[in-house]
Formats: sequence, structure tokens, C-alpha cells
Amino acid sequence: MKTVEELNQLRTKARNKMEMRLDDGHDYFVVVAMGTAGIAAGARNVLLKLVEKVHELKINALVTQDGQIEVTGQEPLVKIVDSTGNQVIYKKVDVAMAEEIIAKHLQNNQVIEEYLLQEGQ
Amino acid sequence: MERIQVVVCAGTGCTIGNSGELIEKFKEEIKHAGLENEISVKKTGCLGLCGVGPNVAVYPDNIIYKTVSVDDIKEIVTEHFLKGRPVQRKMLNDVKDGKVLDINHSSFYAKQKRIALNNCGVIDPENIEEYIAKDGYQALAKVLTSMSKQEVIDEVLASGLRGRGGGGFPAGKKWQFAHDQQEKQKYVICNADEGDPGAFMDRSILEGNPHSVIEAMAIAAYAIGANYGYIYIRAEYPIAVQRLEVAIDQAREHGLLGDDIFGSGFDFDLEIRLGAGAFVCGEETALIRSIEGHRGMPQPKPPFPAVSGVWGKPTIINNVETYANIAQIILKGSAWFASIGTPASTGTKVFALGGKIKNTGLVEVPMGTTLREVIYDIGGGCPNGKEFKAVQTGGPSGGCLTKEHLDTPIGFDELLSLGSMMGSGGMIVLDEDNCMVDVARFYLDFIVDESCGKCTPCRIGTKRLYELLESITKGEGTQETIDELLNLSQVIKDTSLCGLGQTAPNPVLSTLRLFADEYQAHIEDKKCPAGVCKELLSYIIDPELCRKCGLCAKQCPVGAISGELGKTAFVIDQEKCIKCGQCVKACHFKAIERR
Repeated sequence: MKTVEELNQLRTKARNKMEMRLDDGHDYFVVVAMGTAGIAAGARNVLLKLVEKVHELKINALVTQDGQIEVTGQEPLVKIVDSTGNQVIYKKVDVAMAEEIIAKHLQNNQVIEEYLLQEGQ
Repeated sequence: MERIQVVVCAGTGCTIGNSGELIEKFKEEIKHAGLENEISVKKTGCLGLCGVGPNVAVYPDNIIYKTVSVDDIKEIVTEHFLKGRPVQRKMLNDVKDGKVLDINHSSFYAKQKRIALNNCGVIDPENIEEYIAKDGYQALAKVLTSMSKQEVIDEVLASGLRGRGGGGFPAGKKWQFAHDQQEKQKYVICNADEGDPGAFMDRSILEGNPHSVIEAMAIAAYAIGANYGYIYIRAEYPIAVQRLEVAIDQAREHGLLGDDIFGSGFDFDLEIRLGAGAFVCGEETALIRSIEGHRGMPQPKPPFPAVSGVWGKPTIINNVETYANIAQIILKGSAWFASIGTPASTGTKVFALGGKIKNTGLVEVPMGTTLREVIYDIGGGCPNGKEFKAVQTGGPSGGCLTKEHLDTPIGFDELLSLGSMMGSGGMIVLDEDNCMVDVARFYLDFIVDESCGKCTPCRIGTKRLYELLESITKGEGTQETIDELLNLSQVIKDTSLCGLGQTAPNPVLSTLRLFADEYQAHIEDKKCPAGVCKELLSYIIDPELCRKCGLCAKQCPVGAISGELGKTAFVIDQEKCIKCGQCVKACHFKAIERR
């Protein structure tokens, strides 16, 4: 290696492959409920779409999964926690809604009220 | 798109626990579940809790699974990876109020701070790109492009970094001595000849993050004006050697070793020298002799290696763990490093916890952490409700610390003032079942084996020390034996050629001072309070408790137990008894007493 730029380029490239193992903080944690009901309602496709988009758009968010997070009939559920610990849960999320959540909530910090799981639902 | 990364520990401990097969099985099950595009499996270095290996870490969830066997993998893949339900019974993470805690907040890790072990258990040690992703070789780049030699040395001096191999000599001072020599040819050496019984942090660093050592050696070479290095490592660390070889090849391919690194005009390359595992070769002059192809025997100092080392040229020798701190000192600054730990002992120290302790493994804590925190909060205390008796630190050159010392902050000088030493960081925990005379005998046995034989006090003196201790464990000791032990120890300390001999009596002196009553019990009452020294033991059957079942007699390998089934209580013939203890295990009624 003859220049520091070369090293930095390689670092950037290599970081893309191991983002989840770096210790940087994240702006959002996106948790997809993957219990049996969630999977039956199509949570897997939602999860995969979220992972893909977060990576593609280089959003500083971590997408993980959980088991059933609420007892509802409103699956698939997606919980979004911001860095201050505030959280909201979206209900009946499909692939198109997942893209909308990314565009509005994660990219513009706009909660989409109409998709939210309400108390007692 | 990848959403989970599984890293399986491939250190020596977990490899013995079959972690290689786990990787294959994970790949197979992940494929079977149709998740192969979403989950990747890699190997990594030591995660720390070797006692419950093989360990597997799952990112981004930050969950570590312990004692994973091939049979657990299907469950982990379907439950956790597919359905998002981590398998709690296998988790190392603490669970509090039904919530899985992040691994860094779990009891084993909460008080730890990983600097030297940074990246171990996170990156794939055989992939240089993962090291580079975690700011690898940035420190070398910074040094070569923006710092003068003296600035590098000043930074290391200011950090207060002291040698982690045993002596605790300030690393920066060593570098300064070598830098000030007016020779054209100089060398850097990495001492990876880790020999203390029970210590394995250097091996784990090399297995988990070999590039950190290579990078630091290049920085050291630049600072003192050397362009060639040796890593002296024992051949009995095959995995570490192989990972180092891979790392050196990759560094060369990327031009991070070789000529004109970063276009700075600085050339550096290094090679591995395999040692045969002699303890004395960890002593720097003996190590140099061994690198030169001679028999590993120490030389009188001065001249110090910084003046005349390998091939008669100025040489610095630093330990693996010392090097593992360097890149981060350069990147984050000496002030950051000096802010961790205590003023006299900065930074962190890795300890290998072993012996009578629940959590066996590697822990890295800031200096100044108390022994109690390490042994109880992180180590979990002695297993089976046994009472803690002492902790042996510093290996065969060190000594013991007892209950009264538990609140001592750990630091080089603190341990020395208590008659022990930091050494390379082995911590052997002893409980009420350990006989301290026997412990001293064990270490002397090791020293007698490992003495190179060059100087008489060490060659013959340690052998005599061993024999004196042995006579005590056999009940043949008298008050004169104790006096002789003390006298001989002093002579060996004063007259031995190298550190091995000079410190060899330490385990004897330390146990004599702290556990005089145990020695007295051996020589006066002819009893071993811990019940370890066989010659001083006797097994007695209590006729009141004996149910006359004869199970003990059946188990006795020498036919020393006699009695009539169902009629008379059984009796052990003390002449025949070999004190193996089988009868105690056989008795269901606790009728056999060991005293």
C-alpha cells in the first residue's frame, strides 16, 4: 500500500461487509416481530425488504428480529426505537408500507400515525 | 441481503471443543432453512469465557451462545435466526425481568474493558479486511505519514504503558534506549513465548487479532530505526502460528509489510521463529540466543538488549499484550490511555482466570480494579460453595494473595508490595481444598524442570528446595526444614543469573509467610489441613455410621477394607491403604472420614 487513501478506500469497502459488527451507535433500531403469527402474515418479506433498503440507502439503523412482541391480530408488527429510547409499533406492515416507513420515519423522522398500533388493539 | 452474522470462536479452547464442525453445521442448517443469503458464518478469536466453550456470537443481536454442540444448531437456526426467539437456555447473556440483556451488560463482561483483546471475538483473524474495517493499520499510516520517531516514543512514554510480560518496565523507555543507539541495523522482537502455567492471553491475542501485533511491531521498528523483526513463538501454539503466517502473508500482499510502506520510504518485514517451549526462553537474553540458533540460555546483563541484542545489534523485545495496546495508543492518544487504570499502572490488563473459579477464561479489566471484582463479580467465585483461600498471581515467579488482599487494586506496584507480582497475568484461584505446601511444591517442580542449568543456584538450589518441600508434604519435615527453606531461598534469589532463578523461590516465600500455620500443621501435627498430601492422610470408617454394605470394600483397588457383610462394621487397614479415596466415593452413607 503506497498511500493512506488506498487504506481508507479499503476500510470503507470492508466496513460495508461488517456494519453489524462495528461498535458505532445507531439512530434507529428496527425490530420485526417474527413469531409464528408474524411469519404467517408475511413478516419475513417485510424483514428482508427493511434489511435491503436500510443497506441500500445507507441508513444508520440496525434491523433485528424478535419473537412475538404484542398479542394482537394485527401482524406483521414492526417496532422502531430511536436512539433516545422512544418507540412506536407499526401494525399490519406489508412490503410497500415497509418502504414508506423507511422513507418517512427513518429518513425524515416522520412517524406515520395512521399505521401505528393503538393502545388496546 | 445479509442480516445476521454468526461468528464462531476458533481459538484453541473452543477448537478442542469442536468449533470447527459447528461452522459446517451452521452453514448446513442455514442452507436447509433457506437463509443462506441472509446469514453468514465466520470464525473468530477468543470471546473470553473459555470454560463454557465453544462459544458462538450472533450479530447484530449481540448474543453469545455457550457450550454449543452440533445438536443445538438446528434449534438456534430455526428459533433464533428464523423466528427471532433467541434460545435462552444456551445464552451467556443475563436475562433480567424476562428481557435479554446486551452481552456488554451481562455480569461476565460488565466490568471488563477490552483494549488488548479488542477485536478478538469480533473479526475474522484470517481476513485482513476485517481488521482494516476496524481501523486496522490506521495507526501505522498515521505514524509513517505524520509523526517523527521521537514523537512516537514520546507518545508511548506519555501513555505510561508498562511491559505486560512480567516485569512491568515502561515500554517507551525501552524504545528510547534502542532509539538512542547509533547503530545502523536494529531489530524488534515480539516475545510470544508464553510460559506461565495457566496463562494464555498472548496466544488468544495472536489467534484472535494477529494484525494488531504486526502493526505495532512495524510502529516500534519505525520508532527505534529498525527494519526487521522476529516473532518468537512456541511451536506448541499451532493455531496462533498458522494465523500469524496467514496475517503476515496478507500484510505483505497489501504492502503493509515490505518496502516503502505508505510511500514513506520506511521498509519493514518480519519472520516467525518457533521456540521449543522452554520456559527460560521467555527471558529476553535466552530468547535472543534461541533466535540466533543457539541453546536458549540467559546471558548476564548488561549489556541490555537495547544496546546489544540479537546478532549483537540494538534490539527491543516486547510482549504480545504490550504490542496489542500500541495501535490504539497512537490512534486515540496517550492521554486517553493514561486516563484508564491508575497513575502508576495505566491501561488495562488481561488475566487468565483458572483454578477453582466458576468462570474460567480471559478477562480484561482496567488496572486498579480490585481482586474481589475480578474473582467474584466477573469470575463468579469458587464453585460448589467452597471457601476461597488464595489466588496465585504471576506464575512460578509470583506469589499468593489471600482473603485480606481481596480489596487491593490490581497494579504492578501494588502486587509487588504484597509479595506477589503481575507476571504475565495468570490468576490461579485456590480454595479450601488446596494445600499451600503442595502448591509451592507444584511450582518448584515446574521450575526444576524448566531451569536451564547454566547457573548453579538455580540448577541445584531449586532442586533442593523442591526436595525440602516434598519432605514436608511427606510428614518428614521439621523446624530446621523451614529454616533451611528460608535460607536457601534467599541464596537462590541473590545469586541466580536470570529472572527465572531470582524469582523461583517466590512461591515458597509467599506461602511460608501467608500460610505458616499450614506448614506448621505438616511438620508438627503431621497433618495436611486441606487433605491433599497423601502421606499425611488417613481414611477412617466410622463404625456407628457404617451400614455394613461392603460397597467400599468392593471399590478398594488394593483390598485394604475388610468386614463381614451385614454383620460387622468395615475397617480400613492403614498399612495397605493407598489413599486413593475411592471408598469415600463408594459410600452412600458418608461413613468414611478423611483426616
